[in-house]
Amino acid sequence: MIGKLRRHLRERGARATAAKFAQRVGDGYVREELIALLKDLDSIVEPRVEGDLRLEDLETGHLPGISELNRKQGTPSADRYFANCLADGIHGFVAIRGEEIVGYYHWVDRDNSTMHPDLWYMGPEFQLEEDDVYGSGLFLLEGHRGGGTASDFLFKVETSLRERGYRRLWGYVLSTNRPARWLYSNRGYEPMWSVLSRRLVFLRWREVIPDPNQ
Amino acid sequence: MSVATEVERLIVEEIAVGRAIDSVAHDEDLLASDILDSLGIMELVAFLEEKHGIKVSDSDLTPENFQTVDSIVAFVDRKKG
Repeated sequence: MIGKLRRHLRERGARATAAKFAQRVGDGYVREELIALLKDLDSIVEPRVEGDLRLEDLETGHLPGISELNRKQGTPSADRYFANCLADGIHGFVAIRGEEIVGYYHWVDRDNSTMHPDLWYMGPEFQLEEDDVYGSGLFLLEGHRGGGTASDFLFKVETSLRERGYRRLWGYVLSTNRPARWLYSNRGYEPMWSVLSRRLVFLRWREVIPDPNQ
Repeated sequence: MSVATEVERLIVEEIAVGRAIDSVAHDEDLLASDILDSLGIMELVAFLEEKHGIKVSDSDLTPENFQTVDSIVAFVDRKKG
C-alpha cells in the first residue's frame, strides 16, 4: 500500500494523492447500529402453518451443500468461514428443503462463546450465563424466503435449542434491517440495548446505548 | 377504493400469492397466520408510503399497527392526521 501511495504521489502529485487517500479512508469507514435481542425459550410460539424445512446440526458432511449454497448467493469465499466454524467448535444448524441446503444458523453457549467473533458486537460487558445460548447469522437463500419460511426456520431453531436445555437465546439485529426486526419482534425477541459500532479499516469502536428505542 | 379494500387486495394478489387465499377478513390476525411475514410487511409498507404519502418509521413497525386490516386502516388514518 505504501508503494502504491508513493507511485501515486510521483505520478499524480500531492493534491490528487491526498484526495485518493481520503476517499480510501472514507470507503473503509463503517458505522452501524445493532440491537441486542433476547428470546425467552420457555415461550416459543408455534407457527400456525407448519413449514417443510428440515433442521439438521451443521457437520462436516454438510460442507459440500453449504458450498453450493454459497455459490448460489455469490459468496464462494464463505466456504472457509464454515470450515473454520466447525474447526473452532462453533455450532450450527442447516435448513434443508427436499435434498437442498437452503439456509443456516450459528450458535454458541458459555463453553465455546470465546470462539464466536460476533459476540464482540454485544458490548464489552456481555457474557453468557449457564442456560444461555447466543445465535447469529440466520440466513435463507433467496427463492426460499416468504410465506413464513423464516419464522418456521427460527421456530425450529428455538425448539431445538430449548430441547438441549437452554432457556435464553441472545442475538442481535442491524437497526437498518427492517424485515429481520419484524421477524424477531413477531417471534417474541425483546430489544435489550443498542450498540453503536464504528469500523475504520481494521480499527473498531463500540458504544453501548441502554435503551434501543431512544 | 377504500384503504381496507386496497390492503386486502394487496395481500391476496401480491403478498400471499400462491397461498390459496381468496379473501382476508378485516379482523383476521395477519401475524399469527404468517400472512404478513418479514417480506410481506416490507411490501405493505412500500405500498402505503407510495399510495398514501405517509412515512412509516421504525417505531411504527409494531404488531399493534399491522395486526389486522382494520388496524392497518386505523394506522393510515392516524398518520394522515
